[in-house]
Amino acid sequence: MSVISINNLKKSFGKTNALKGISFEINKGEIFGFIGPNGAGKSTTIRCLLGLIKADEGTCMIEGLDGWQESVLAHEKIAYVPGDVNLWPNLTGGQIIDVLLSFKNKKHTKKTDELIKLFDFDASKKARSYSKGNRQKVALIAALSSDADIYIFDEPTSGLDPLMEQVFQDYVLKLKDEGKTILLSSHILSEVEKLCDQIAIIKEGNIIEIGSLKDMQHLTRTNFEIISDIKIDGLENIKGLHNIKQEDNNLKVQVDTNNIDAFMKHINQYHINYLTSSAPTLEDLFLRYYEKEGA
Amino acid sequence: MFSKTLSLLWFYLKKDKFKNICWIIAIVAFLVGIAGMYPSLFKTPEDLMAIGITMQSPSMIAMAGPLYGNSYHVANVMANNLLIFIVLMAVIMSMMLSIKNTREVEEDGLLEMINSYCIGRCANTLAVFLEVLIINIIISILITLGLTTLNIEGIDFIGSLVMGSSIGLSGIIFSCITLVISQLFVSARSVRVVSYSFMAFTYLFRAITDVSNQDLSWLSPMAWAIKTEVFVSNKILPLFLLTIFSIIFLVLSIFLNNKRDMNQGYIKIKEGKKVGKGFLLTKLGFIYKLDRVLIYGWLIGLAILGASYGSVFNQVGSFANNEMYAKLLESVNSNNFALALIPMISLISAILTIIPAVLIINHLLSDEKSERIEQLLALPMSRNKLLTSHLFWSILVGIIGIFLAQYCTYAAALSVMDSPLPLKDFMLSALNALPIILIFIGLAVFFVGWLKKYMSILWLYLIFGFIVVYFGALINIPEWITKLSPFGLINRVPIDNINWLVFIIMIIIAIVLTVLGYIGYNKRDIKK
Ligand SMILES: Nc1ncnc2c1ncn2[C@@H]1O[C@H](COP(=O)(O)OP(=O)(O)O)[C@@H](O)[C@H]1O
Ligand SMILES: [Mg+2]
Repeated sequence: MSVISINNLKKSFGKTNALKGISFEINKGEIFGFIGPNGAGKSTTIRCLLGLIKADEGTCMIEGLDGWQESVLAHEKIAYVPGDVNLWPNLTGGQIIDVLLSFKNKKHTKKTDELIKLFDFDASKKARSYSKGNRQKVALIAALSSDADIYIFDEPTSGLDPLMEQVFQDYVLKLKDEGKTILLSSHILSEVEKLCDQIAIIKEGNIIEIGSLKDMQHLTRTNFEIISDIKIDGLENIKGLHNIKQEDNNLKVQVDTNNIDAFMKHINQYHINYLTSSAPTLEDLFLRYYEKEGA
Repeated sequence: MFSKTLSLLWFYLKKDKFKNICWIIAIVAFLVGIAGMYPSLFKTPEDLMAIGITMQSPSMIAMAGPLYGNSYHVANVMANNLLIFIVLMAVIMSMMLSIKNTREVEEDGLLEMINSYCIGRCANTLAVFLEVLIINIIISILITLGLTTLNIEGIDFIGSLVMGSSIGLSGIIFSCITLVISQLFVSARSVRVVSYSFMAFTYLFRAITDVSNQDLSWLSPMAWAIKTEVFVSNKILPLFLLTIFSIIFLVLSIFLNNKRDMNQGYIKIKEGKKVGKGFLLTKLGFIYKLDRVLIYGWLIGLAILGASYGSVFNQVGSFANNEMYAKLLESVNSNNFALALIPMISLISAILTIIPAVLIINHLLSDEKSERIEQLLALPMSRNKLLTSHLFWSILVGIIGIFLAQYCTYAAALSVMDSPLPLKDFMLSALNALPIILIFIGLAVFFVGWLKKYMSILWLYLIFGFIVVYFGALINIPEWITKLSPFGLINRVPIDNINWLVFIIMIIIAIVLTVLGYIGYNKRDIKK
């Protein structure tokens, strides 16, 4: 059953067509990665879903509730962390967390205290003195301790240091274990790669690819670096090799993921002294995609 | 300890050159320019008498200090009218500079960088002091020369010198006090808040003691410039006090500076609240907490304004000599001058009540611009509820503001008049002006709903209303123009009765605007 379903969503701001027909579904218990470069339309999609802005066309539903018309009901099920968190400067972080919780009819619980500790957050300072990362922590702590069914994160770690990013990622996995549904927008590819079951790639207001990381591997290449006793010949007979760099016994090559088998069989005929392979990343996938488009 | 002070001073003088020159020109030009206009403003002894009497009223003494001298002439009236304001300008300039170049550069880490160039531990404090000293000396000299060359009877060289130096020294002493404060607190914000609060306190203390017991006002350094009784007896003691205490505070600040570490202070700011409790956690409480300072600030201001109007009620007779007021009073066909003032005061109070009421509604827009509002609207909170929580406080402030101002006018008038006016007159007048406030609140909601980019039009419309109120009575503005503003629509209560039909129609307009605003707000995008 899909918890979030977005169907042919279109939105323009004046002359900018921010969304040109976005569709995707998120199933219960899934971590859904929403990835794309800056200005691709991630935040706009999320704002439509939250009923902050009205779609020109198409629908977005949260558990069967219309994001625009029934937004208040829908919001009872969700917790949202915006990308750029701004706070009320004359309240302390702790006060804002509790205000946000209470407006969700939730209370400051033990879990809230745990999260404050986990994120190493000083809740007693006025919000005006917080850095971007600390402001983000306020929104994260309020969202994570609110015990929602659905979590929507818009680039939640863009201000966090690597240690806190890790804390956040661990927590997201914990939420998944509890059966929560998560929409995670990001332009940090490694994060999405690590956490997400399903991934949608958005570019200039269009979804250009959707599926699991595995499904997308036809788009990806694996990088090999090989040192053999003698020079490896006959590479030109194998399909799907790219950027071959060969110096005597030393070979660097990118192999289309579909063609790895043929490639491995070929090099098996040689005595290999050294081999590393790096798994495809979403960066590669992106590059590859743009290459394909350009061609 | 002080090594390289002079190079630092040179650096600051160069860095702040433009700003400092602007301040110097503004202060000197303001004082000398306006002083130069005095002979033409007050041509006859009667003119001087009229302003002199006005300045002797308690509210004016509170504002500007006592008027010295047995007779009124241009010199002492000018000094009384202008001195405190010029002193305030010099004080604010000096304090701004002293905060900027001490805690603020320290907080920004700039000082650390500067200090790595083998600069003495206390060099910065001394350099900032010297910078302020130089600027204030320049100001003093220019004022002395400027006033002397005006060639006005009674404004002589000695008096000008006393006035100039009292202004400069006031700037210097508050700078030295700020230097001490900036040693105490770690954050520039705390230094700023404490310094300006201290300044406000010395001003208020002077205001109160000048009215009640002028010996006590010697305790406020803000009073010392006035205590020179410039152009009347040119007392030197206050200048001496200003100098001595400047030195004391300077030495103290250097002592404190020398004993502390970089980025440390002596007073720990108490920790903020770690959790939110009680009223804050309700929607109304949350908005209240955000707007608290604004609400109380304006309400206190309105109360003071009302009281100061009330305190001149016993003297309205003397205003009748004044051409402007005479015209004003003529236009209402009333020979009871005091009574005729009430509608005017209620309209001015209404204008000043509208400002905070609209500002509260306007918070919806500033929160939208900063994207804070996203976090609220992503919660199960409808736009209607959010709008209503703001509207509640806006209307409440609107109602309390106008009635409070009118009540304070009444209370102050009660204490000064032989035959006081009844409270009912004041309250009816406030009630009469209430629909104007509600219309403006309704307009604000309407703009939030439909025309969020054009909120400035609402402010212009309010200024238009002010012009209608203020000048409408003096010059002849065609009636159809005054009727374009709600301020021009209502009767002059208590001289006339409330026009209930107009009252109800205005309330209905306010409600319609508000409802339309709600509809628009629900339909539109929430975005930057
Ligand atoms: N309020 C707005 N007004 C005008 N243009 C906007 C607004 N919000 C977003 N856009 C435009 O829509 C496009 C998508 O923006 P956004 O959804 O914020 O991208 P992302 O979150 O993926 O970085 C961008 O081209 C952006 O300039
Ligand atoms: Mg974004």
